Amino acid sequence: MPQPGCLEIASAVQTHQRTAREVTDEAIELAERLQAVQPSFITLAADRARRQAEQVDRKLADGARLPLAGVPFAVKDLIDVAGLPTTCGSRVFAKAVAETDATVVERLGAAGAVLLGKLNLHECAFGFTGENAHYGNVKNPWDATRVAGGSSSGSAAAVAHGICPFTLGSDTGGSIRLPAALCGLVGLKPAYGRVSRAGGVPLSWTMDHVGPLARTAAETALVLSVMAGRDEADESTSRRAVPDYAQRLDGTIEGLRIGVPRRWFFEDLSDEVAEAVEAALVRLKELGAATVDVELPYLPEVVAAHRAIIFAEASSYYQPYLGPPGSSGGEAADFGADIRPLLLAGQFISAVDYLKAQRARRVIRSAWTKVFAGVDCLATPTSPVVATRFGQQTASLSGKEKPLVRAYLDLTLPFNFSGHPALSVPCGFAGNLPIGLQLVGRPFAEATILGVAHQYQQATDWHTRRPGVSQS
Amino acid sequence: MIGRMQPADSTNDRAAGLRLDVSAVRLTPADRQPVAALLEALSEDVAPLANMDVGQAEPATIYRPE
Repeated sequence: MPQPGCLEIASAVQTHQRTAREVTDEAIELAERLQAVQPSFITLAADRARRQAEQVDRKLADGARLPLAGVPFAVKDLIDVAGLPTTCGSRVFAKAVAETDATVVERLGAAGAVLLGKLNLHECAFGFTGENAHYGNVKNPWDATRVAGGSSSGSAAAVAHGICPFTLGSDTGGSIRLPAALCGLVGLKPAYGRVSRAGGVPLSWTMDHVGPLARTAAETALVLSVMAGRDEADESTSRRAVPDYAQRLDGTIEGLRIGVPRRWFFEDLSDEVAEAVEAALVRLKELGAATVDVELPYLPEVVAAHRAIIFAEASSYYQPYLGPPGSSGGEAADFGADIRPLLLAGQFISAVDYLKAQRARRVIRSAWTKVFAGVDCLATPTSPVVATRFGQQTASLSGKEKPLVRAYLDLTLPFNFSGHPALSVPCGFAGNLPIGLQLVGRPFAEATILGVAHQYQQATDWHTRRPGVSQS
Repeated sequence: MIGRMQPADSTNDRAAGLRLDVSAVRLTPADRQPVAALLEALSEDVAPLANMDVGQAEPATIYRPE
């Protein structure tokens, strides 16, 4: 049975065909049933959700206009919800109860969305597989022997399983787009500054972004319209006006110039990914867009600078918790064995190197502005490979074994470094495993890439396929 | 590029490129080897930054593109 999306649920609740409470009860029932075999959630807040749903029903009865009326959602467990713990997927923060809602949670709640709970993630968002030593490994909904991708693993799984039509994740190197690609969803990393991170736990605050995952670009656009905009609690947010993204989806992409950066982004791909992405480019041309080969300079330097920044900023944030056992702040031993070295390593990066990375950022962004001047957006694969098996460390690409950290993140992290908006949209399958197409927009041009993704989804059916619910 | 460390001790081996006295960073014996291995891998990834000419650019302070 087709699972209803945000638009269908909101419409049904707004017109009193269904109550928010009924929708919420169904979502909770499914979440509870699946949780036994798939640890998508860290905290399922059923009572809170039912109370919030009843409030939505009362507001509607009083004549309120709520664009997300009764739409269930959940957030990655590094985003604060008052009264619930924000664990960051770590045992260290298992009892860290938030006092207030994050700005995005507040805005979505005000629009009538109903929060189901807090979602599993790669510990501290510092990883790309979704494996978690404390709260369980989130399995790929399409193949339980494979990873869901991370770090927003629970955020992708909850949507792919049909528990809720959208979730929130965060993205510092690809953590929304990668799990979206591996699980067959749309995942949007907005432009840096478009969506508030206030009430979210940072990993690397100059590259962290908060954004939605959903099945379709249309749902993503609706959610972004509610979330986006200036927030005095997050000084990085822009004062630019927020367009009505949903209203702008139906424009034609006739004449749109899509840049294709073949060097780097198309060099080491699995055959199935290469075939699917090339076919997607053909489809976009059939829809009226023109493709133009472009070259983004400085990509090895981007990876280098991204490493210097993310490790230094993560170690800086987590330093109070990295002392040896018995010392003040001696929680280090409670981080997972895979995460602790990552958090410690940044302490060996010098201030000079960190600052050089931030200086490089200015040089590279300036060079990329010239590339974007000639195109409306870029199209690349999101990941060169489909979901890999648990425990796998490398991917075989172009006859070489590539570490997964490079394979999975080299195509996504450049746009965390630059701050450009980027999304992943389903563009095919290798067997039963989804493949994602990445679209990258000019600064703050989320409307453009959402429009392209929407037109592409109108012409394809990849997003209509559903995984089975069996999870061994 | 990145401060190197000796896996088993905390000596400051400048000849090997060490920029930081690792004794300033509190590592338990169990953490030394995995951190050393990670730093080795990171050094390779970060190397291209060392050769990049950033001219007189000031560090980015507003992180969004305009």
